[in-house]
Amino acid sequence: MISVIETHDLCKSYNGRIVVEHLNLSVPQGCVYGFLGPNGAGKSTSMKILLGLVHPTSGSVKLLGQTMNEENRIALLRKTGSLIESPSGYLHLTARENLKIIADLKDIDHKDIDRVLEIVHLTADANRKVGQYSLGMKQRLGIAMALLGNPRLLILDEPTNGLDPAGIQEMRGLIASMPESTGATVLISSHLLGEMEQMVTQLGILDHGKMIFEGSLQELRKHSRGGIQIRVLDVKKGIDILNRQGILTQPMTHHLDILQLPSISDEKLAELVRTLSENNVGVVGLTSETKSLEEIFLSLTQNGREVA
Amino acid sequence: MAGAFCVELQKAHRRHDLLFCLLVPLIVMLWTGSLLSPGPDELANAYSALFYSIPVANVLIFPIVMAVLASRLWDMEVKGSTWKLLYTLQSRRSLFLGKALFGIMEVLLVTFLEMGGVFLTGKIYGYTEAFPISQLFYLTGCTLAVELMLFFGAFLLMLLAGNPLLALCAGIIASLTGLFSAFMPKVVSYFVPWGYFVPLGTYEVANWDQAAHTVTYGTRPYNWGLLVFTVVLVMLLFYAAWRRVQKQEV
Repeated sequence: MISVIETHDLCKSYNGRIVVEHLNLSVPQGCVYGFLGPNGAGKSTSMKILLGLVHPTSGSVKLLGQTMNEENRIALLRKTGSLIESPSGYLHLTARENLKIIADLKDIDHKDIDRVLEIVHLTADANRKVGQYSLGMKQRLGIAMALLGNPRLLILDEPTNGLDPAGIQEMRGLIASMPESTGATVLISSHLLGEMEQMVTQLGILDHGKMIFEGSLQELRKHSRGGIQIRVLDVKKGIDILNRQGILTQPMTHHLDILQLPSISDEKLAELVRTLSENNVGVVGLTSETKSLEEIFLSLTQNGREVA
Repeated sequence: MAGAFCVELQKAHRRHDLLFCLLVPLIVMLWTGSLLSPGPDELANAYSALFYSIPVANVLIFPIVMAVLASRLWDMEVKGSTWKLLYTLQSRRSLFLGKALFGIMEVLLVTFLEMGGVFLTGKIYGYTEAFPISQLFYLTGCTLAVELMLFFGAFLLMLLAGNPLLALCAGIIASLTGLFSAFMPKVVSYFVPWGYFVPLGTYEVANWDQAAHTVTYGTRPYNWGLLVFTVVLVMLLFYAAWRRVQKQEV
């Protein structure tokens, strides 16, 4: 699979404090890549390094198939759109005037301005000064600037900041549809894990500057499955049999006929159910817990363990 | 670079920078022009008086004016948080050169309007002294050099501080200390670069008749050495500002 972004052993430190440590990131073409991590994990710094806003201490960045250096950086970045931290905009100029400046810098026809204004629903306010905009409107303008020229790669840091729920839903739909509608690849970071879960196809989780997981959402869920709950008719017998099989279990506090098992493989589970049935324990219900992205994220980052 | 300059022209829309550049020389000329009495003896000495007082007015006004122009040029980027976007669309060199060129254009405009005002003032008030064309060229060069030095110095302070307060405070202090140094022995004024308008000036009071209340002005040699030194300072400050932009991390 072709990677649109690749980093090799990327490191960044400030006065001896390591912010990004041996980051090896790979963003496949045509995906929506979610970049997660707690506050201070190094997500924004990593994104700034990708855009050349910050010089890495060591390591390299490959963007759109080319190793990025000072000579080709601008040429490569003109094919990208970005929104890092807070939205940019000249407060004394209107939205349209701001977009004209960006279009000129990107060498894009001004006709594209109306298209992006329409996408972010700012057409009616295009001739108002940005200084009069609300935070949400400034955020929309920032996204419009990133979308100018139909970029092949979008790098968005917290793009839904300041948006109301309707705006967040719209933005989610827009971002999720980008690969299909324009062929763009999207790298997005956000703390709204519920929103990320609905948009992303690939994930990278950063903690203390290190990548602790990278892969698809399905892979993450597979590695971080929740426990199993078995509802049985004979609880005491069920506990004895499971203990003999090496599975420590006990009934749930508010449902004394449900046994809580740890996460086990499908084959082991099938074997246990067969054994319980053969011993007349009476298995009447089986539930597999699926952790939400938030639960997986918190367990990974609080425990600090890596997931292969 | 032309593209970067055109972008700076777009950014300057609605900022009334042009109005500011028109206003400042007007104030200087109104001030210095009105100091002279309209008597025949005074009009015969009028250009000399003007060429004497313009550097003094410049040393008081232009440190603040240059600080205002330089800080306005950079402050719009700070207020708009535009670094993160601009550095992905144009090289730092292109951005800096666009800004520098725009700033130089503003300084040129202010200088040439002021010097044009010298000529206009003489015509309006009917000065009878012969127009000192070579002195005007020299004064233009000196004024331009010192203003560029002040501009890039303020620009550097703006880059270092990230907000206009330091540059503006430095401008006010420079204005007062520069004026003060003008009344000190010449050797002292050489240590106050922001006050170089006065030591670079070629007119001085030759004779003051207290009883008759008349002043006679004389000329002194062009100070080419100090002018060259001023140009060197301009280049050093330009380079320092460029290095700051080059190394800046967002």
